[in-house]
Amino acid sequence: MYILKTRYVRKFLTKYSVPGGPVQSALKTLLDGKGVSLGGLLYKVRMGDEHKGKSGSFRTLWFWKRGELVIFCFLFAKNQANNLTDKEEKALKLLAKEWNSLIPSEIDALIAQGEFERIDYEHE
Amino acid sequence: MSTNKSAGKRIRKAKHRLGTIASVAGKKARRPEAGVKGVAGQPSILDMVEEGLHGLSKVKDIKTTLREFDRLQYPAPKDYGPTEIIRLRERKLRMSQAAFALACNAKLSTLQKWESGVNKPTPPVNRLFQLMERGGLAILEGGG
Repeated sequence: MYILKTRYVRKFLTKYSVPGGPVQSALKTLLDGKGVSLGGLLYKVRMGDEHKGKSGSFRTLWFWKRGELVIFCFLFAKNQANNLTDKEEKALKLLAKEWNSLIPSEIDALIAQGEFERIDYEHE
Repeated sequence: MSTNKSAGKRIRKAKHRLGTIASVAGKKARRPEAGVKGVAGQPSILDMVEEGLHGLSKVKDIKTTLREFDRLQYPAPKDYGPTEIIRLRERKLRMSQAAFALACNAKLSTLQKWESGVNKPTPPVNRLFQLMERGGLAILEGGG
């Protein structure tokens, strides 16, 4: 199974030096089926709740095609608005639909080009 | 085929640049509560989706999706016939034909042809009407 993060998330995590721990626990929450489904294989997961007030308290968006592909798509600070607009949801679903039809060789090519980066999942 | 491909690439690159310009302009217009932003100065979800699609377009053909995405960014087009134009000018903006024509940078006779149905406004003009309908004359304000 591929577990990946988007270029956006990679840049964000580096820029704000978000530690790896919260990402791992958010990923675990998702894979335990405790994320909030948005439809279209997209899920919302709260990240870093136990570190309230510290950096690492975010809402995160994930794409999850069970057993095949997990993509950490987006994260935003908790104090930001938490509802997606109609337009944002439609746009996300367009992207998710394309991700859903990716074949392994395409995913490998995207990793090679830096569009995706693997996440090591320690709970596996 | 290879020339076609690189032409397509160029267009997509140009489109990507345009998209970036559009989203920068859109940022000012979008109200803060209207959407989910990243942390201050970070791109929005729409920017992330655009970046993602741009990446995907390098490994597979996603023309249809790109087109759908582009369509999402702007209001659906609307055609303004005589009735709609007169309604916009008289009811919404309360302007005379001469004043409205001036605001649109059109000749009075052009406007009269639109209002009588002799000619139809072109798509960009329809977009202008749409903007005037939404934002009133404020969108044309200033003598810059």
